[in-house]
Amino acid sequence: MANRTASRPANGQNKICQFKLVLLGESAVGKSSLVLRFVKGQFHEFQESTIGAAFLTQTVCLDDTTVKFEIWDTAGQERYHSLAPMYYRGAQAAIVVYDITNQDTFSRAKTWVKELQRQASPNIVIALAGNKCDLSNKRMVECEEAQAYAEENSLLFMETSAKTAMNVNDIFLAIAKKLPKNDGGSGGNGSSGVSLERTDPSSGGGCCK
Amino acid sequence: MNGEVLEGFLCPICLKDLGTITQLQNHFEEAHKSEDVAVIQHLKGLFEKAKKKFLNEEIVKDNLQTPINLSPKRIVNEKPQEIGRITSHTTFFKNLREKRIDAYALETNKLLLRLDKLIDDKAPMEPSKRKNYEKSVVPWTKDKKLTNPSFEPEGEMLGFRRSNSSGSLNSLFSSEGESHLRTCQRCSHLLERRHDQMETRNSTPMENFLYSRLCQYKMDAERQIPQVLTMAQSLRDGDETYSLQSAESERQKLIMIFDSIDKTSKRIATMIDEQNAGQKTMQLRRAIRQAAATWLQDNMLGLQSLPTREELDEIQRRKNLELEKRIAIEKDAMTKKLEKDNASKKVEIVVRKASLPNTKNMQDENGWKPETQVSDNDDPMLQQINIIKSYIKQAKQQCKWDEVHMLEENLNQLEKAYWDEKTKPFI
Ligand SMILES: [Zn+2]
Ligand SMILES: [Zn+2]
Repeated sequence: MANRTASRPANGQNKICQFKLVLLGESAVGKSSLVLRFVKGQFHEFQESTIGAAFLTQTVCLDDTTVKFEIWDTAGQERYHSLAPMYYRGAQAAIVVYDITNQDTFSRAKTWVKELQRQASPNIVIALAGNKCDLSNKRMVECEEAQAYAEENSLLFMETSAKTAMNVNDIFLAIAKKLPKNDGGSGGNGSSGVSLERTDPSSGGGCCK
Repeated sequence: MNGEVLEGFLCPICLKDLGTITQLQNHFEEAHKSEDVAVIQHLKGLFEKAKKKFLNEEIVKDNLQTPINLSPKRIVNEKPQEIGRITSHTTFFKNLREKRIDAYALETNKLLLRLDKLIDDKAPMEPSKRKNYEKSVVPWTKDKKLTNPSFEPEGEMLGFRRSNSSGSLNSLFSSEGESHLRTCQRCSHLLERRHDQMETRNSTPMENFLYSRLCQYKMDAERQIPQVLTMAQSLRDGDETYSLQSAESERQKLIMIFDSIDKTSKRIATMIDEQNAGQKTMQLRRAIRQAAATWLQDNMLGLQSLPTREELDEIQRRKNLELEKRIAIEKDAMTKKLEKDNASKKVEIVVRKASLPNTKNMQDENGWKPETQVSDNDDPMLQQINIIKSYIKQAKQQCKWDEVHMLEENLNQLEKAYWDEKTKPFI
């Protein structure tokens, strides 16, 4: 899985791409849990709500390319909404999360998608995640409905569970696959990844010079 | 950095935790406006595209291998660059410029002197003489050489030729119809330069013209405003000095002036920079507009609307009512005054009775009694008042507080009666 393959291959000719990814969605839909599962492989039943935003990184390998995600996990509470544009501007990817047991969170997710389509980088890759699919007995949002909406808006779509880890790495991988990795030709609108020379692993992603 | 979780009000660019929403937003605005990552990447994208166009794919790929690090940490460590040593080159520039201007002026003036001789009326018109004359004025060069100024010897740039073929300065010397001047490029350039200079000196640029108009409008408005205000106030007071129509038309005039100020200043601000005058000029134009807008705001706010016809009728009706009331009051006051005259006499008597006999009895166990000091010239009421005052003074000196109190009450009554009598007729 992705976090298994995160260790860098010894092969120096490997290409490294860095992408900024932002998570958006109503509070308590499980954004932080998804990220925590993806980055650390952990799950906390009582995840505390995020204050402001959280920043994490994770690297996945795709064929000959190493994709480094810089993840901005935003706080879902309404009072932090005004900060969101700061975090999604310049982002090459976004995961908009809703809770399948709560119809309101799905409406909110649609609003986020609309906002991203209007305000974020034009070529941003947007994925829609219907989280908490382990609670399917309490389901309020039909998978087909969300699927149809995602197709209409050309979004990647998966139902996920941070608790069982279902589709968590997969959705990040799907995004990584969809992101343009050839720097020069991928259009200039901030949607292209930044190609990096492989740095000494011990320097840990800091300055290279 | 994998696994490390940062949380808080993090700046998305430098990762600093700013503590609060507001501080984060302020920091982002202030610190990163110029280094917006989105913009940087956008530019980078364009740059890469451009590179791809000029170079072949191989080279592009090669260049992309050069390390680029956009790690936020790097930005954190960069302090804003301070201004280093500054040297002024203004004097140097001015010297250079002066020399050049002098050189041009000298050359051009020499040229003009020669030109003057050539078109002089006294110059011989007979072809053979004319040719010699021209040769004496202007060193001739061969035709083919004229096309190339580099053939002209140093300091010998005044090669003219008068001919019937068309030259580059027709417009300057078109008075003689078909006859034209032929010059080398350099002289032509000098002459055209002077010509342009004269043009700019004599012509007013559009914005100067507009600006002087704007100033004129402002002066007109400043003259018109007090007029309109006076008229409006007069109407509101119910005076009949001005008619509503005339006030309305004066006000309309003022509004037209305001409108002209608005339009003219807007036109200045939106003028296209035809001469590429640059940033400062554009800034000046915007400032003119801004000043005009502020001026308008200041002066239009104070301008109340005129009363409507109905309001005016109401004002005048009320004014008439008021007037009638006043007349009635005055009449009333007159009758009251007559009554008062009688009444005050009565008061006087009462007071006399109340005070004077009392003072006579005001002889206590120790035999104290106030002494009376009155001048006979005063009005009887005043006399009375003065008497009482002197009693009070004496009583105070003697510490006769009961008497002081009684006398003071008496004095109050008297003074009131006196005051009423004095003021009533003027109401
Ligand atoms: Zn910052
Ligand atoms: Zn010449």
